[in-house]
Amino acid sequence: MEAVEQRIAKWFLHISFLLKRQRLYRAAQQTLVIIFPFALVGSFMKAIDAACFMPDGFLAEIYGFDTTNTFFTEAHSVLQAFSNLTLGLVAMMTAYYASKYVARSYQKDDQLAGFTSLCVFLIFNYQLSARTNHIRVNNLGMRGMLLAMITGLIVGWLFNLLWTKKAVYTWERPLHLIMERCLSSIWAILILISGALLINVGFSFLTPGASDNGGLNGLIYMVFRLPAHSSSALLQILGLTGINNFLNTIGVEGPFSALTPSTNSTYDTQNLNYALSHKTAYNVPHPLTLHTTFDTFANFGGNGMTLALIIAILILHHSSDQGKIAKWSLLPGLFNINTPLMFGIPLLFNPLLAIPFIIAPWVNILIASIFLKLRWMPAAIYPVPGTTPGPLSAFLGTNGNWVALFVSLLCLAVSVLIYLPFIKINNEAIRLASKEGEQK
Amino acid sequence: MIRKHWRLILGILASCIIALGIIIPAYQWMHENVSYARVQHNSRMDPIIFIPGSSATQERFNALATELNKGSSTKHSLLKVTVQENDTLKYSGRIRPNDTQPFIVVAFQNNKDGYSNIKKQARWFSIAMNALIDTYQFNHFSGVGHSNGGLIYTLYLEKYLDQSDVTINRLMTIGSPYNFNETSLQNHTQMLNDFIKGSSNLPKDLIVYSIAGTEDYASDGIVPYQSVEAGKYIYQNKVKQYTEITVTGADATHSDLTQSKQTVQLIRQDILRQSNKKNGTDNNNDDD
Repeated sequence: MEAVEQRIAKWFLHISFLLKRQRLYRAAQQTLVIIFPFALVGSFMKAIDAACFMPDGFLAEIYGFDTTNTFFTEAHSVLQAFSNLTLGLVAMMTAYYASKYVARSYQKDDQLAGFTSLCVFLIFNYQLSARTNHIRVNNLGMRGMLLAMITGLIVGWLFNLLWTKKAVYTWERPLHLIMERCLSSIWAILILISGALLINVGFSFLTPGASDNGGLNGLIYMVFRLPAHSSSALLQILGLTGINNFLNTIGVEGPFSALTPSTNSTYDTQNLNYALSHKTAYNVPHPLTLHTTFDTFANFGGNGMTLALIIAILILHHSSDQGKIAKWSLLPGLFNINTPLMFGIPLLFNPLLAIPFIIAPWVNILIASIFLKLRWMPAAIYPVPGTTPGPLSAFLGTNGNWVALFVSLLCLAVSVLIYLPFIKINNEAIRLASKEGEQK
Repeated sequence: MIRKHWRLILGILASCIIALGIIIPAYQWMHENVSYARVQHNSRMDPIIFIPGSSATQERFNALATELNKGSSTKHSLLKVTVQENDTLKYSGRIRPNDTQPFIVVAFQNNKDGYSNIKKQARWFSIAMNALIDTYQFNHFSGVGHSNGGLIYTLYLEKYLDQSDVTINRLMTIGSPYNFNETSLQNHTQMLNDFIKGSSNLPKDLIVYSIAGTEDYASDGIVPYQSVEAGKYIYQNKVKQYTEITVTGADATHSDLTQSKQTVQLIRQDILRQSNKKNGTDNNNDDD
């Protein structure tokens, strides 16, 4: 048995090691990690804002803050600006850094490659219309991560093809060298940017939507559209949440997230009505819905049970850099914001960690379903704020049922166990890859 | 040991305190939220369910209903149910659509006096209640019991009421002999003892009014005053509020109690009040 496990572990290790040697993959990982500080401070502000200064924030609700008074509304707008200008720009940064790291790996001029890619990305999000010309600002944050990463990597690679001169790195960088670089890059920049404009014009015919749903990014979301309606069939719940979490790992926002619980479906309304009139949440008409299983038991710390990931890292690598990233991510994680981990670990574009990211919530949904089906605990039908700390959301959603709290802690423990081996393999692969890097 | 791990111990202590500081207010907040939501949810239909006393039929409250509907803008419809000895129900009258507070009278084919019959009648009443809840889908109601009707209510609340299914908000018993014909509070009948024993099952949020009629200083002509007063041993400190009211005057004799102007006014004031708050205008001409 152990031999099989070891073989699987070795196989995983081998694959992720090979991946980490890939130029583009490496550039992607470097890009994400360098953005981590921005994602972190933005998430901090977003967590504080969402939990304390929004009318439906968890702390604001339980401590009875009057969020309508001037202090709170002002603080909310300041914090919102802070997170919009950090978290809200991560895709822009990604487009820049991804191209930069690819160009650097070919020893080409990384600054010019980065900025060209940034321009291309902004052009993709530029709304062409006779009346208004503006950038779809919403797509510059997490929503645009997939497009940004692809753009960055491709532009960096094309930059290498189109511009054959190698960059000379001296720390003084005399002016004539810079001039030379600029002159020789004109063609590359011209071709890339006009190409991007042409693509954008082409797609603006395909997706003529005037809203944020248009353009190239809108096309991605059209392809990956999920039926956002709630469901009460277990297989359907597993399917939807699995796809949703998979999309998260490739930088596409799915319809279900911890911060916006899906309590408005017909099923959940019927459940709530039943519980209110019968004063019990045991025999509700639809014990299994997206809300009673996925929202309540499979979303601790944000999509993918990332609170369990934090705990797993803290158990294994208490004092390493990963441990520090995990510690920093704890506060936003308590309020179900996992963005720092997406960049710091990184979870984005990480096929190895995508496995527990999808499987851990599945296992939790199954555990919760068993308890619900056997009527060992009532369904969590009372709505709780999106920023409710994950392990408490079932306890509060059942109006204080202790079995629900126990199941929450059980789910958390099981998820930690699921994450542990993957963290081990991930770390080993990082270690091997960096060792090889040093040898070069 | 302590010196080595003081940071860890301090950290655990601090996180415990923070956790408690979050869990306790969160728990209280949720409870408030849910009970508020229940109140809002429960604001649709709340019938008033009447039980007549022994020897009385489902027609017992006709005069009272007419009196209560007098001078009010919204009329309460009247549904009458008689439970047959074979557990089946006979209905007459109907509940008008959109009537949020209809009157429902539940009477029994076997309407004889005596503790053993009261036990039977309480079971029949629970059968009728389950059928009514199923048909009309209400989840809270108020009760009025005249004479033995109050005793049937007491037994029903202690033994049959499924509090997760339906809530009783207010109960008014009119001349109910909790100690049968005993004139002394010292002598408890078997029934009173049973009622006291079962009183811990009474709903904690219930508000109870017990009306005693007095023709002279001792009774309403049939029921001794002390027997009505014995209700305090059952309800006092077991329910949210227990109020004893003594009615005197022309219509204060046992069977006239239900038509007495004072009783009508008390029902309007104490049992119908909730609908006044909601609809603003109806039934409040006699209030305060």
